[in-house]
Amino acid sequence: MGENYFNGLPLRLQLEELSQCRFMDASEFNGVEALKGKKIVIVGCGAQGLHQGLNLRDSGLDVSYTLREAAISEKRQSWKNATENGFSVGTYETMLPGADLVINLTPDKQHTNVIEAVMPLMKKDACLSYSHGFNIVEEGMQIREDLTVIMVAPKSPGTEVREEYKRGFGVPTLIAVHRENDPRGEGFELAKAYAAGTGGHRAGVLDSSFVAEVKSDLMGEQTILCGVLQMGSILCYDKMIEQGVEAGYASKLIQYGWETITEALKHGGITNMMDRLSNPAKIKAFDLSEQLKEILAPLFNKHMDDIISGHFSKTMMEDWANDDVNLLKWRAETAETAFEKSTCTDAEIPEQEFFDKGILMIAMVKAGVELAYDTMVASGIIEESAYYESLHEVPLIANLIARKRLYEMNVVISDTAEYGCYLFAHQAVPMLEEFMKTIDTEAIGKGLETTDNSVDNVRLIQVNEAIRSTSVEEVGRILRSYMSAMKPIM
Amino acid sequence: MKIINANAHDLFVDRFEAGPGEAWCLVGTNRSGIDTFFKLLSGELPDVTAEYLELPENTGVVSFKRQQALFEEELRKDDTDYLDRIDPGTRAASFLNNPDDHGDLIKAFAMADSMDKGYRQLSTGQSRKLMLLAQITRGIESLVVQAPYEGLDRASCDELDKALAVCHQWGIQLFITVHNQGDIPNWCTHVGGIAQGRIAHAGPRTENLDQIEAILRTDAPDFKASVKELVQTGNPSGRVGTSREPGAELVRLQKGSAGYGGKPVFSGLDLSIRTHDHTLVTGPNGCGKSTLLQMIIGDHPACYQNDLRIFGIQRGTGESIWELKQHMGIVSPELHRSYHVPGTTLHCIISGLFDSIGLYQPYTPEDEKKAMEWLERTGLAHEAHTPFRRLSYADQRLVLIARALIKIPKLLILDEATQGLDEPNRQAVLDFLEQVAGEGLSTILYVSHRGDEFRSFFTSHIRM
Repeated sequence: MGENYFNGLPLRLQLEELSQCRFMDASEFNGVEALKGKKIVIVGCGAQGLHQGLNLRDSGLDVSYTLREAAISEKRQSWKNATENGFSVGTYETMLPGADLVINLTPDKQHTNVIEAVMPLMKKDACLSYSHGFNIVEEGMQIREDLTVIMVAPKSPGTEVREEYKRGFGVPTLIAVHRENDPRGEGFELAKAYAAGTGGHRAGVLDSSFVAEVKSDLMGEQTILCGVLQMGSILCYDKMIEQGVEAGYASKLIQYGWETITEALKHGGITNMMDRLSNPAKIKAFDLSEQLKEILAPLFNKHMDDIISGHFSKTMMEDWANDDVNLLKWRAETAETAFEKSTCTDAEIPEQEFFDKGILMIAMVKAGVELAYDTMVASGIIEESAYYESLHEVPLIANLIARKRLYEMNVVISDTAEYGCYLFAHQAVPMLEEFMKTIDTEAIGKGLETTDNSVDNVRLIQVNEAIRSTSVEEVGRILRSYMSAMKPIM
Repeated sequence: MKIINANAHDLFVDRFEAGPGEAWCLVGTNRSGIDTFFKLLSGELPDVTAEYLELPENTGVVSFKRQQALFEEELRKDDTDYLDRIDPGTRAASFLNNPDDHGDLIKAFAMADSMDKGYRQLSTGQSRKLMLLAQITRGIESLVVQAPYEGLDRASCDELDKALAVCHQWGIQLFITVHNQGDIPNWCTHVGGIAQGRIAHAGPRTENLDQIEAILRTDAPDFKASVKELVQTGNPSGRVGTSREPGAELVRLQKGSAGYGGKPVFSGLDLSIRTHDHTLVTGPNGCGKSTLLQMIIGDHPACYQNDLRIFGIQRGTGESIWELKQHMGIVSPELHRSYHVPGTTLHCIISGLFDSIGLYQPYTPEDEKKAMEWLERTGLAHEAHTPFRRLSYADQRLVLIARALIKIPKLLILDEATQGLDEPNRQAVLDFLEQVAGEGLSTILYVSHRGDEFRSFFTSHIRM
């Protein structure tokens, strides 16, 4: 294993890398020109690998796949995915020497092994692409000097990357060039062409760096995305049971509640999520979220600090080397939580009810998004990056919980996200012990009992102002306008 | 069941009665109020006022809306991203209540071989039958089905007829709605007509059939377009200036084959379409018609594995799919199903200029004007700003047809395009296509199951 790349940089470059993030203009793209006629070989054919390949091929590019010999001879799923879609598939030895662009879309944890096998077979002056920079930044992988190293990271799951392309659109995408590996200065052009080939240029592309991607991605996934939802599910469920809410109802309110409330978040940010509440409930959610932010701010800071210093990745990789003892133990504990073992009622919960009776959940999402975003920005990560790695991705994890609850959610996300998620939740739950004692079913399970919807005008104006005027809301409004169906320019 | 003086939206029912075990076929054009009556029978109409209202009890409902909802729910549950393999959807058998107890029924529906398939692996006809089975196996007493025969070939219609006849024999009270003369089934005991928001002629089949068929013959279509008027309003073509010299090659497939999961759907198929070769494709459900069209459109991976040329370009030689699609206008069941994005009706039509599902690019005032003209031609100008998804299924279809026509493409690819349309509208669309063919504005590639759509303007007929 190499040395942590980020820690080896002088401060000047650390700051430059962390703060590199620029929202690109559509006019900067020249289609797939830079990749026309080049041979593209994708390593791995899971959901992300397959669907990116389908898009690149439909954009007129020459795409094939390479898999480990066993995956081919045993006709594993990845082999089926590729061949059933009419792609040619071969071993590393047959496919890699002819490739101009090698796209590594294997799971993060395999990167060191994959790259060590792939790199010697790549032809001189070829290009290697990642969709996540952990291997380069945290593991310090050294790439051959003649090779160009880029990153193209669509901010959506593979099927969505494909569906949006078929609609004539794309998904927001982050691109980067590794400053140590751009010997001919062509990395940026290649990354742009690759992003355009997947349709990403239509939905907004961030010109970022390996470092900014890794540090913000880690922060987002372990705090607001997975950590807060894990913590919130456990706390909210236990509170409802303690207060005598029917278990089946409590179970359903949590399992589907995150998805429903973050759907509102996705469309219109924190403002819209809060606007789904009655005025008295909104003020209550606001007050709760302020308390949550005060209690949890030190924990968000600690996670950010450990990510920046490399402490997080170092300790996690020690666990990798130790047969994942911690990870597997914590995973097993998740399976034993009361929420995980509960059963949902068959009774329907109307959409609005998830908001009305889930005030605390809304407060947790609001506090988590704002803390994650603000902490990242305070550490030098640019606003757009912080937005994509916090608010933008919450609905994806919420959707996973709706499908599979906590245990399976943790299994399907990357091991890196999962490890960080447990670290966060293990700290956060005890930190909120006192706070949770003040919570009753008004905040979670039954909603406000009052039928009187009146509020103090001045207080409401203050609260609305405070909700709307944050940085994450301002940046989000702009970025969402690029992602939403259309922005008429007339 | 019994309804007296009921009022809702575009419908007034003075009196309607149906006894247990009766099998009703309700007939009307798309905007006659029949959809409202369908919702009323389904118990999906909350804001109805009535002097007396006794609806069918313990009802199973099968409708376009529920079919679409099921499709989207299945998409939501798609586990492809987490399993890293293509998720075919929920297993068919798990939609049924105790499938093991209903072996005979499943056989009567000719569905025994499909019970282990995933939802997304079912054909149109199979998914329709699955929805019926899902309802019937719940032990319902009445069944309300919207346009059951749409999209089904003759053989599947016969199978479905047998299945519905079985339901009737079991004493299930049946209501189906149809919009075409040929769809009124033999097993129905009663018929009812709906015209201009009123029930007209409801009663035993033999006494009322003639008057009811007359409704479908005499009602005016909503779709009113003529090539003459198109030419008068200026350049008929859309954004793309294309030469349409006769004889130019549009599609050439040699020894074509395609399949799913290693199983061939067709093979050894030669196809050549030149400008003005208006081509009709027919064949039973599952013979590969839609697969062939998807291959031509570029939505099936087989387009890269075949000796296939589109507009003279060999597929897989560096062309982008969008270069090809800009010369195509497409209506298909897949397109309709996939059009579940937010956006207004007007935007949906404009999206035809960009070949997108949803609208992601700025458009010009001329684009908007053109789209408004097409809305007028479908009788939906007043719905311009209504979300597309809120229109009835038939109106959505008319809009998608207008979306395909707005640019008057080189190649017009219509797969079951008139699905869900009533008789007058179907004929009006075909009359218009006949004019398009006559003037040589587009070359038409057309898939249909309905014999009365095999018009004389088709110059070649591919039987698969």
